[in-house]
Amino acid sequence: MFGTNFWKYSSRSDLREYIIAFVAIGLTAGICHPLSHVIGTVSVGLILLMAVAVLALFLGRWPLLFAAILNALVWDYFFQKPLFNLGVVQIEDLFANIADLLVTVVLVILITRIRQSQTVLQNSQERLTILYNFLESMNDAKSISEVMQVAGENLKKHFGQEAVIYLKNKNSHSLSAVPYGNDSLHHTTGLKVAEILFLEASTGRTGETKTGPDGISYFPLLDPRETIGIIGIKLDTGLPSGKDKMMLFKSFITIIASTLGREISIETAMEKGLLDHSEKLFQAVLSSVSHELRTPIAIISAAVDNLNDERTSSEPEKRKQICNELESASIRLNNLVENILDMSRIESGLLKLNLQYCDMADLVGLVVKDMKGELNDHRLNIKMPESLPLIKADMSLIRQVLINILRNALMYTPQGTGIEITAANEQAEMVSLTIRDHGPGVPEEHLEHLFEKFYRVPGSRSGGTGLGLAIVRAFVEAHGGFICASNDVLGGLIIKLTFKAEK
Amino acid sequence: MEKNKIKYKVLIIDDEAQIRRMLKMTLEINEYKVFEASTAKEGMMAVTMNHPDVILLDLGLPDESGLVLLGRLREWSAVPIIVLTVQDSESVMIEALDSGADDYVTKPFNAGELLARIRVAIRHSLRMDESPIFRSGSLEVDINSRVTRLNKEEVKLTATEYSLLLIFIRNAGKVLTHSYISREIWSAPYADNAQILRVHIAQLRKKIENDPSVPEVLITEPGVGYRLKILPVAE
Repeated sequence: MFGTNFWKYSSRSDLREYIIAFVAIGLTAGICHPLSHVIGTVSVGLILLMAVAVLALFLGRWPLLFAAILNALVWDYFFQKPLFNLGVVQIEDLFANIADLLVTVVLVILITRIRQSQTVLQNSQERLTILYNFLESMNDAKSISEVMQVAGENLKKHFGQEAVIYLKNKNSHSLSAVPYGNDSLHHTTGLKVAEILFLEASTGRTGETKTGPDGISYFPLLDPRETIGIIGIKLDTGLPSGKDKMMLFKSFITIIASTLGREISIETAMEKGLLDHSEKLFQAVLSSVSHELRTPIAIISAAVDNLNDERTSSEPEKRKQICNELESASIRLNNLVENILDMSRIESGLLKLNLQYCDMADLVGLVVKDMKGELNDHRLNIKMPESLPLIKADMSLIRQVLINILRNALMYTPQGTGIEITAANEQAEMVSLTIRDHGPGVPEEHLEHLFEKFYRVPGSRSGGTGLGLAIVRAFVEAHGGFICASNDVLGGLIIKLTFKAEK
Repeated sequence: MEKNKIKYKVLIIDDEAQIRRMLKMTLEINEYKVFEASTAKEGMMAVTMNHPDVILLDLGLPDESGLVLLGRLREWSAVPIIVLTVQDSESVMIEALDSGADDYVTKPFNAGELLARIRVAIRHSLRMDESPIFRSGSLEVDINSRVTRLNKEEVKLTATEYSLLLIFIRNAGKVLTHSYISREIWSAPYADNAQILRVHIAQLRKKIENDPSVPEVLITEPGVGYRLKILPVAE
């Protein structure tokens, strides 16, 4: 769009322009000379003046002044009496000569001034356009590396320079050893220069710019709050010449710095958010697992204390009770260990299904038999259709699924309430299993989170790790099945599992 | 067993039925009458109905945090409350003690330790400790004459050391938080006196402990504070 020549506007004049001025005045004079008898000396003077005015449209200041003086001389020498002589006959001719010269000079000055201010305007407009486009493309950049890329491209386009950027390390007050941008500009001595400049800039000492080996100039990248890094630019001809160009260059550096600052803050905020999240999760895991681990241990330890007390252990009835507590505490510990192991199997991706044909009714029967000891006062009501298609499943995993769902129901529903287990194949090719309890149900807004790891419904009784139902979902989904939870209109939670039937 | 012995009433507020059953067994064999509650609501009811002499309160209750219940109970009742919890985070303990708990025991706990805490709590609430002479192990303090003896030999305490010791004696057997001690002695927050308190405790230990590097009487409760133990009196 804008060549590098664009910047070369100045009042610089070369020999060519003087020749043009000379030739133009000469030609005009040559054409006018034969006509001067017809049109008169004054008109010739005006025509010559016009020639200078035309020249003023494209020549530099000094060739124009040369043209003005030449014009006055030519007019005097060739057209004014005495001809071919610079002298004058009448005093008014002298005035006319001086007036001609003055008018021409003033004209030249005026026109060049207009042209200059026009050029300045045009320059600043173009500079603004460049800055605007640069800002816009920097704004669109969505990551640190993208910002670097856009910055590099634009520096190259407008200044013809390669750039290398060293950013401040996140946690220490030093520069990172690995730069962004053009690797060929990176070397250890350059990095040292950059580091010195970085220290100067961050400690508030001048640190404007420094030139390293290979003619690379380093500039500090200053965010409003701190020095965020150093940019190194290979400048073939030293710093950009001209005030305008230097200003544009500095604006570029400022934009690069503030955009990088913005991206760095965003990245830091995101990292912190992730960290906070994982810390919360860790706390949740810690508190639920530690509660679930310590409670049975507390029971065991209290039971042992009681057994050690002669007064208690000598009574057979009390001893029996203590043994029951010990047994159920150890079952509880074992369940927890199983859940943690299951979860780590799922997490590690080592879950392998040992698929076999199985009969849902058979599975349910097995689980109910195993859980007899944990039922207490709950009543189980099992409804299995006579002919249920088989499913292909890993028996031990589905068994764990049922156990976890039932334990959940037992834990959160009042003693004496019933739990219904119903199998059906309402849809062809599908076998569903519904477990319905008569507890308080789950508030609607928590239903969708029920199967999330470590999620516990707020206000629910203590105990439980938030692992059981997460394992259930993972196991069911590993079988290509579906699971969903809903509240019964009559109260109570319904968990429905659906598996593909085998023919 | 004496038939006429007064049975102190203990209320257990814990939602783990197994824990309640085991505690009940331990307490009953030690001549306490036990009431149980599994939620904060039930607990509140039981306190008003049964007038327990001491409450064992679990902090993780299903309907309300034990800390909230503690605050509510303290609005109208001075009954000794021992917090019983698996949460062994020190900040929770300090919060519980500052909210008015008399002591705490973390699960899993030792039955003997728990019974000792219950005895201390009941003794404090019934003001059974107002003997002019305090004895624990080989330490003996005559409060009237302000004489402190270790192994029957008098030890000289500075004024601050003595007032510090006195605070512990008045709360013998109970855990005292750093901030409580700091408030009692300097009427200033603990943060201002953390270092000074440590120094005074160390100096006091040099004078009242047989082996100050392994304190037996004035023990540290990590992260929470200190406790003056009531040990059997040495011969």
